Amino acid sequence: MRGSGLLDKMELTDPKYVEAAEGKPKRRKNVWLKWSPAAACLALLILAGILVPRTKDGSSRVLPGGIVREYKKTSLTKDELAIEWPWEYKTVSEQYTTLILDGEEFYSGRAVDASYLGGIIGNYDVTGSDIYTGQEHRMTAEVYQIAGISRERLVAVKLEGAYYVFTRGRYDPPADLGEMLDDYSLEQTLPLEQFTECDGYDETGYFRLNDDTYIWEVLRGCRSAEFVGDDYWDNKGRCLSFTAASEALGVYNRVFYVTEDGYVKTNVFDYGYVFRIGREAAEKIFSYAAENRTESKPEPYLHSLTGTLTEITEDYILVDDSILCSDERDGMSFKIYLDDIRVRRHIEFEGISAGDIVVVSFTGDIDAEAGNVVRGVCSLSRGYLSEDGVSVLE
Amino acid sequence: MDDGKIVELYLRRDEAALRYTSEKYGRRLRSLAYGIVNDRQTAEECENDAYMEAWNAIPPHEPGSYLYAFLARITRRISLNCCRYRSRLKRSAMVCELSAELEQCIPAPDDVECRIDDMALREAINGFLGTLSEEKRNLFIRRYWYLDSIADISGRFALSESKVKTALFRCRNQLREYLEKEGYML
Repeated sequence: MRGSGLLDKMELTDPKYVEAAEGKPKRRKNVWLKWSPAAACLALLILAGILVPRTKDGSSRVLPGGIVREYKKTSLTKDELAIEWPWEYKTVSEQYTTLILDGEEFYSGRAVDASYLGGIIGNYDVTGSDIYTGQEHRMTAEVYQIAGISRERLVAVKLEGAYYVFTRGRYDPPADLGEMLDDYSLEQTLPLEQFTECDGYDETGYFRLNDDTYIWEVLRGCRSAEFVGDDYWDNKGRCLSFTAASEALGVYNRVFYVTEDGYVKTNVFDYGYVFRIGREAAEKIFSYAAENRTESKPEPYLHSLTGTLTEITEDYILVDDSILCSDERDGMSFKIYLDDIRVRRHIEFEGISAGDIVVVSFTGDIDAEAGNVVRGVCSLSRGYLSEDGVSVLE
Repeated sequence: MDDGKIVELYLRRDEAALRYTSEKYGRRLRSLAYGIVNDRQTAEECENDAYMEAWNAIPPHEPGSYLYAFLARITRRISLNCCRYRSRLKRSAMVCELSAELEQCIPAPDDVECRIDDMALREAINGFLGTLSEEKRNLFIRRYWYLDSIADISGRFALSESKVKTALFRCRNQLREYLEKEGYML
């Protein structure tokens, strides 16, 4: 029997177990992909960077990392594969995932620059486990406050010379908007610059604000706005969807919504917090945004580049994108260095090899002068070609 | 309407059975199908196909006391097959990967059809699930019955993706060990 057979036979599961697993959870985490209209088109944007309308021959002009490419396949579907990396293939923040501070569990997240740190809190143990061997790992690390942010919410931990944001795991939503503004010093830590204007699930424009001071002023006036939930709900009216990225908070490209019917919704803190600020405050923010915005372009969550892995050396790999081009002769080759474990492990452990279709996710740009070197690569995934694009499992 | 009465309508070949079934369970079945195929139109087709299959299967089946479970099982099977055979759904790769994950649970995977009958396999699967804690069992079922992505499971249970992956990895190892220990030759 093979795995596909067992997948079919899972239908023999006792209905009582199936129904028990169907129940809705009391709260959800990281739900933004479900309630962000901006996310609806991420699947398209992520593969290619920024899409320009289709050309006459049916291909689309895209800008992965600033390089202009014309592709016939532009769609990307991402699913999750349950890869658990062996200890030696994990980054240090993936190895040491848990900190106990004042009896509370905190979990590791993104790197944060030392300039965001406040005072040292002390030395505490951080732990992690290697599930391949069952071995528990523990080491003592310096724990710091993050400037302006409550240590009960977030702290920074020094691991192998770098600092990482650790977030308290316990669910404890702020009682009102004021508490959230204070605990995270949001006005200082969360710039509201890039936003998408939406009407229901339709995106109606991409804009930038040069100055978000007035928006924070309005929100400060809504300090008593009550916390109304931690679950998402469908967007029916107009809303402004701000891209929420903050190194101090350890978040990258999440969302901060202001809806016309008077709500602030955000998933910046993992759970989908919703506050009722009222229509009047929302109208002020909408008016300010309308008067002070400048046209912008949609921002992809991550840039990505797809192609066939043509060569693997000790130091780098080459990826050729001919398979996406209408004319294969238009293909280009890109170089990805293997000095980051998050890339190297896909070659060494996962066994991605020459000839495989791969999707390279990156946060930097493509340096054409250096020989199409892709900067800021954060993962490499095996891709599968479908009719109009590529499916990726990560 | 009571499930028993709906099933009676099926047994009497009264097409009102389909309407009552749709009214009572349509939304849940459509939602189940959508979770697997990720395409609204296809999910509706799967739901309708499930009604037709139920219509053809009752009788001889008489699922008066387990009508939803009966329909859900049919819907899952139809939806899973849709993913396999409709490449435009882009879910075929996901099905391949889930199959690869589950293959890790089979002590000696090979191309021979399952060596034990459904009754024994049901006993094996549910015997194993009974050994898991409620949360682990729900994680396992969300992944391999509902075909949820890791991100969705992470969101549903408010666990980090890393924790979900770790838990599933351990569950798969435990299932293989359970099958070996109990002597099930799949």
